[in-house]
Amino acid sequence: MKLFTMPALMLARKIHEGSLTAPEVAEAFLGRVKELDPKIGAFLLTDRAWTLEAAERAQRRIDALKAEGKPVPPLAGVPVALKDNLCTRGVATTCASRMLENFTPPYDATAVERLFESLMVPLGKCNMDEFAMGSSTEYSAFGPTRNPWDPSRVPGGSSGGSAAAVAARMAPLALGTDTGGSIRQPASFCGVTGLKPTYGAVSRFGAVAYASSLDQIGPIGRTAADCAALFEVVRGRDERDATSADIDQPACLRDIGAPLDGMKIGVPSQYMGEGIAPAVRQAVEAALSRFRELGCSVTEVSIPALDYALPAYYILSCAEAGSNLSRFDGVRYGYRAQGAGDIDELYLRTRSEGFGAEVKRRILLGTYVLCAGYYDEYYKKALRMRSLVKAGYEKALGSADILMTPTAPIPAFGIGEKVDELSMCMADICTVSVNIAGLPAISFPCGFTDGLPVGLQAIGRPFGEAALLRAAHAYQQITDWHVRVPALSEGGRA
Amino acid sequence: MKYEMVIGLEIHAELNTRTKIFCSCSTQFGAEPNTHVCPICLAMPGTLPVLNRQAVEKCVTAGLALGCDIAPEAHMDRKNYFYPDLPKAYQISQLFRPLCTGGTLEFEYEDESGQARIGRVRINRIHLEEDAGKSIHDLYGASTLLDFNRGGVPLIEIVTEPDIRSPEEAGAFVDRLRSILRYAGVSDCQMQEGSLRADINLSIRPAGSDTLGTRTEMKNLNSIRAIVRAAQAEFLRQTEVLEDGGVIVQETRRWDDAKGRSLRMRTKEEANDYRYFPDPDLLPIRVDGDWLRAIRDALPELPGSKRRRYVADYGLPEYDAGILTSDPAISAFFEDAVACGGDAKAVSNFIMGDMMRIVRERELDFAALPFSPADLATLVNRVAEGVVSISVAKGAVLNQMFEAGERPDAVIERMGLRQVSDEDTLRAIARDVIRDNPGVAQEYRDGKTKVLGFLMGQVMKKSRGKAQPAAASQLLKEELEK
Amino acid sequence: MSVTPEQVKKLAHLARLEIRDDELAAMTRDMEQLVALADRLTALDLSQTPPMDHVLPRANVLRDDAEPVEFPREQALSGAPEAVDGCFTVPRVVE
Ligand SMILES: [Mg+2]
Ligand SMILES: [Zn+2]
Repeated sequence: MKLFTMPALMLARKIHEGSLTAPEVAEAFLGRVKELDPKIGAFLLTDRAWTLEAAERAQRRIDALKAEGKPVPPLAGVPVALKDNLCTRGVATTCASRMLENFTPPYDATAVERLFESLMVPLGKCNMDEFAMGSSTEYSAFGPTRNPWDPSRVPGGSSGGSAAAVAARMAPLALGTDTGGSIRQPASFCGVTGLKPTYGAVSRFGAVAYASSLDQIGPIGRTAADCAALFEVVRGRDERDATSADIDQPACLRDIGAPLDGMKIGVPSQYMGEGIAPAVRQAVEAALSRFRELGCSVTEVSIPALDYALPAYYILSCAEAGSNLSRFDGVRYGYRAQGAGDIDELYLRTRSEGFGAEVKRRILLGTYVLCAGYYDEYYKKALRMRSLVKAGYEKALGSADILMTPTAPIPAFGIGEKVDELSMCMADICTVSVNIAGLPAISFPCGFTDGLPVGLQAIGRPFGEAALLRAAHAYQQITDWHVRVPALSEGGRA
Repeated sequence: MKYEMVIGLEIHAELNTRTKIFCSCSTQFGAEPNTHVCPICLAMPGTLPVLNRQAVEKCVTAGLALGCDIAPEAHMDRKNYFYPDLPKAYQISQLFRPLCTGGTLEFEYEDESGQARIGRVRINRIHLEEDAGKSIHDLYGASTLLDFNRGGVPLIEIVTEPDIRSPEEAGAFVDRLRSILRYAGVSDCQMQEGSLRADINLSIRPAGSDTLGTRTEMKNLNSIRAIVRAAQAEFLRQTEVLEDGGVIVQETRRWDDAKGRSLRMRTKEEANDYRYFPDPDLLPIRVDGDWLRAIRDALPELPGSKRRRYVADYGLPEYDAGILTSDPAISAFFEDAVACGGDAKAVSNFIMGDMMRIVRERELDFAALPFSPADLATLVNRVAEGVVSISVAKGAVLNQMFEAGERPDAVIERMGLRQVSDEDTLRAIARDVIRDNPGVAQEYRDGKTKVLGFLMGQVMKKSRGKAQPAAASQLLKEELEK
Repeated sequence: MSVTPEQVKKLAHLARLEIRDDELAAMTRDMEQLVALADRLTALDLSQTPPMDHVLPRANVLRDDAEPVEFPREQALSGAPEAVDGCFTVPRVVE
């Protein structure tokens, strides 16, 4: 088995055993990125010194821990690719925007800090839709990322670079962020596994905010078990994020192999009807019957509020984004337009030249819904709808243990294909409600149509990641969708 | 037509916490530019605010001190506008659910004609927010420099109802408010450092009318004098506009205290749409039960009740009590000196007279004088015991205490300032004075007894103030009448 | 609600974005689509449902007013497009 086709936990085991070293693994993946990424465009930046120094440091620490007979962290020595909206101290963090093209944070995101503490190795910074606003990674200011399964298609977004890197086996693991589906939808398009944790499970400190009440950092990997391991590394209370949860989060990896016997799966009818491509629906239905074989019961549930989740999502996310992105004004860091004669010109030109069209559209919508006279009609109403969506999910998750839906209504679409605003929004139709309710959800591969992966989404109760990971893991024990490798990255099936 | 003015105030007071409201930067005043900043208060990407518990408590303390209701659940909101001194391009403030609402402040003041009056102003709300940075305009011609040391210092904004009817009342309100905030330990209220600033909303209407006219707002007045003058000037300006048949435009104006006039900054049409919404980075604040009780229990005695207590317990005149209680450091010094055995009225006289003058002249702080309240008590007692004369005590001794922090007894001994009541010494001085002023002495003997004062003055002078006055006067008379 | 080009210009100014005249029609159209999406909520009567601004059922997440922490000024200013004498600078602001 080639090194880069191994799951992360297997790499970690080999590093622990001493049959591989962290610097060797890092070199191998850096080499693979160098070879393949010109065709994919998953990375915005790799930094050999940054990666290798971390790998050497990790290896020294692993050796020391072993010598002292102390436990070694489960993913020690394993490389991880980072979405470029996660701040990395001393390493450029651009959010795929001209605005931050030359921005180097003097701090690490808490999640990044925790990677280092667990002796993981940063592999590079991944492409994304600018400021995480998009569903295709076409809105990157530095060019699109291509889907490893079909380079004429998008990898999904906004964490498209992270998902494509994992799919093309250029990285064993990646971190993404998910505001309305930005981990799950690209995981689905790229045939990998992605977890959007419960709101508050992972600190947002150092993740450049898109919509503060919806954003979460989460893992993207080849298997549910790898995602569980990475999730356990980054999660937990952080004093720098007031919205990080102060609870003991249950173990995920330890019990991931427990049988699913008796697990009750609910299938919201709102996400299985009109608008879902027949091939996607068929793949999901086939997956559901495999879950029956695993001892689960499957029943249809109805959550009427889900029909209004998309407008509520756009109102809330754009309102927060408009405000969050106001700090990019050319004064203290980031891009500044040259030659402005006065402050207003400086603002206008900096922001107009620094932001792409999609970012501007969302800022304008966010400005619109918060304007005097519109606040109650839009923003407050969206907050009320959030109550209904959350209550609807709570009710459904009272009778079902987890819910399952397609992750996206369609497989990966062609680059440049979705030109109008609304058809792009539709790519998020099955995922946004989960963020509105703050719930955890996972996407994992459940089939192919025309050579393109299809993803299954499982949604859980607050801090119920363990059940989602267990379900995905059980499914991955009896299926092989997740081990298929896109032809582009040579080697075929692992 | 005769007009009356209607004034409402918005007061911003910086809270005296050690660190900023959302980050761990120091709040200390006067540091080098941008040495009290960090990625959070510079609004670098991905950073998040975490609210300072003591800022919340100080806001609640201010609310309790002003008789406000404390909200069972409060929340921070974002006020969005672009300005270079506002790093996030939104100020985290409170609009929808402020910490404190309601409340009143009563205070005495003298109106324009010097007549004593009672003011009663309702407080609409007190909310918590963050300060902005500082723009420095005048050093470099083409640029504005930005210092964010003050950005993120916690503020409370106190909004009154439009209950004020004169500039004097406005000034007295702010003066009393400042005293209460200092007492409550909430703010240092250093107006010259900008830690207390007032915005004036003022409209006028025909006297006796109960409708409100169009108001203007004047921002960032940073002395009580400026508040009084700005209100006077704005009243005159609006009166002139109406008398010339014009209309008042709702606008924001800037007061230029040096020129004594205000200028338009922007009209309502140019005003921002702040697009307030609840800040999603911060969770609700619930000050209830034990927490509220603890804050209430920690609230110190406020000037109003303290003043009444001074009159009742120490037998001080209202006037003295008012002055001594105007500042917590002064009243603490007073009370400590009395506790150390000083006579209340005598201690009060020392403080209100010479000490306050010297403290003011030398820009000192009653909380950090070079001598202790016990030293003042000793000095007061030495006067009562006849050891030193009152003039020597208030002069040379007090001076040396301020100068070098020397104990009063040590000063008296070292400089030989002990009062002289020894008969032989005083009689000799009296004889010398009579000898040196034969004409005046004769006038006395001729029945012009009021020249005794002049001769006594000479005795005091000759004794360098040390002569015990009663004894000296008695001996002087004896010598004159020989 | 329909969106007019004038409205888009006003919004753009509030957000300090410059929409050139040749971009205005397309941006207005895009905004109209987004507003139409948002408008799906306007027909609903949700007055009986309380607004939920946060899904986390927590309150009083506060920090203590502890010892201040220093941050090096060079780092604070390191990303500044322009700085003079330890200050960030912008074109002269006239009020
Ligand atoms: Mg304010
Ligand atoms: Zn700071």
